[in-house]
Amino acid sequence: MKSRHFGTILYYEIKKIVANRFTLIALIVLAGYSLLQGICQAEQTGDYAAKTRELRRAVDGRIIDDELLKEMTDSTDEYGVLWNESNCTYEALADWVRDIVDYGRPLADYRAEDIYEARLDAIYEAMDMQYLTTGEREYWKAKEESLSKPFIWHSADEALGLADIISSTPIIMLLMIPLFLSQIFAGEVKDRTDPLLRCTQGGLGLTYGAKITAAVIVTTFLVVFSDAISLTVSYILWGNNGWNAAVQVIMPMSPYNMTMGEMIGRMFITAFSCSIFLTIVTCFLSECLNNPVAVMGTVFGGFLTILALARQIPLSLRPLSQILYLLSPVDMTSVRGLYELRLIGTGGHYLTAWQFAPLLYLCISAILIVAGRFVYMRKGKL
Amino acid sequence: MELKADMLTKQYKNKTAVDGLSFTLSKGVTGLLGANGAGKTTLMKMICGLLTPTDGKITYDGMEVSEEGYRNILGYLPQDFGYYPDFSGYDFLMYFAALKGLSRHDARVRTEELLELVALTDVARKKVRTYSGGMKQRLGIAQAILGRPEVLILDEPTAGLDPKERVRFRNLIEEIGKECIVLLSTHIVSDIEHIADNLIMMRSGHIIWQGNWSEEEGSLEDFYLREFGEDK
Repeated sequence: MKSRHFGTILYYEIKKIVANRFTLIALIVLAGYSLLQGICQAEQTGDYAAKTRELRRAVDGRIIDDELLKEMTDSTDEYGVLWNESNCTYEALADWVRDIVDYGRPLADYRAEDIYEARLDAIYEAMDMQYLTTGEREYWKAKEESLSKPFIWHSADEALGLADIISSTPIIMLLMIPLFLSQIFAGEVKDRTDPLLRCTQGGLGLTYGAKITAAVIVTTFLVVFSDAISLTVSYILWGNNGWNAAVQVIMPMSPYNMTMGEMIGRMFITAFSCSIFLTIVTCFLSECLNNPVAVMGTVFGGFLTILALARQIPLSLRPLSQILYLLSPVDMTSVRGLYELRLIGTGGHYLTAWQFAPLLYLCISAILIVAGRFVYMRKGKL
Repeated sequence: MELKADMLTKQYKNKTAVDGLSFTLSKGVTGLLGANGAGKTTLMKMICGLLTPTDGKITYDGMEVSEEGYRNILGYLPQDFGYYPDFSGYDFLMYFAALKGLSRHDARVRTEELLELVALTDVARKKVRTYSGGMKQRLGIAQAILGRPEVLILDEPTAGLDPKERVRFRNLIEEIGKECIVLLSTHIVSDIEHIADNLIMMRSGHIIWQGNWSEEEGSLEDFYLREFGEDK
């Protein structure tokens, strides 16, 4: 069998996936959703964000020190909760401070030094809660020390909006991937075309490879199509202000040393690898279950079960809790990933959750591809 | 050109679908006659390598049917012919041409030739879902002979064809049978009585008669009705 046939078989495998009446409807729905997401992401408070944009940016680039904090406390009530369209310059900063310190005390009680100290205490407390080893603590202490302090303030609503778009990718793909791919193998059995394929020269190994490749191409298209629409619309309408700010402006208790832009890049890699993972799981289940509806149910059920367990299993059961967290795409593609301090590795060589999760997804995918090929080659030979 | 089955058995949990069959097929049309449940489809699936025999083996010129090379010379039309409803007839044949290893140019030429042969040229670009039962069956036949097979297995190929199409199909199979081994299963005697060079009759997993009926006296249909009267 010449390799040039792979291209033709791949073309027809893609055609099998997309050439049905639901494809156009699904793409229109996806495009509409992505467009709305791009428009709405920075407009969560009506037109408040648009009207107050210039005011909120007025203190961008300022060091978070006593002087800036004094300006903030002078411009609002003592707890920093009353803001309006004309005095919202320090609103995000007040939220930032209240994320770190005790809610019950007036903001004026805190000097910059107290806030930085409370932040460090919170990080150490998180280390205890997550049952970090000595090596992991040393790792994060070194990271913390590498942070440039005092922090530079930057409003980051726009960059955070871009991050929110990436965060929603796994959920959208959870709906789209089973819709497009649950039939990839099961459909051949349902439509009784499986025996025809198996009686041809390219019907086994080559077809299996073409099906998996076609599934990955379709998923890549869906992810790029959806995210490109949302991100482009959001960027055009709202910009990417905060892209170069440190992630501590949105997640103050994180010791990660990265900018918002880097964080969005990491989240996209995780979301994309997670989508590939979902694709391969769907293909594998389609092969094993032979029933598209059962495939969809199992993918949804598995996804939600992992999500629920990742939140329910106590952190003290660290290996289980950690692996479930890593396997939970909703958590791994959220900015809350900045608070995941549990590392993978030993002896000073560690990977963070965001570094490891894509590798984990791709490794499991590779194992499922190999197992799936084994199942496919043996299937029907009863 | 010889397809040989030796003590072929297929056992399911509580049933022996095929029980110790031995036969040799050579160039020409062989009719496989038997009532529903006789084991015809199981036998054909084993010949196609889709089912593994519990015992015995099938070889084509010394090559086992489980070998990859065997699929190069195999053409198969199953009883329930499956198709891709959103493919056109042309796409369907082009896809299978690629699976059967034809070059793009050869695939195009062969596809057009076969569409002409099975009288589907006019509807070649229409989706298969819009085809009638007979048109789908003709497309299935075209798919089976696409790769110029040396072994052609046709499981109840005339199901769904109208009388006129049946005649066309018989002539087509007779022609193909001059060049390759054709095994055609049916429970309709008239489908094969004039074109089959040899016959195998099956009942309950066993061969009850095999040979060249033209050397026998009497009507094949009468013999068939006598043998399978209770099963029908």
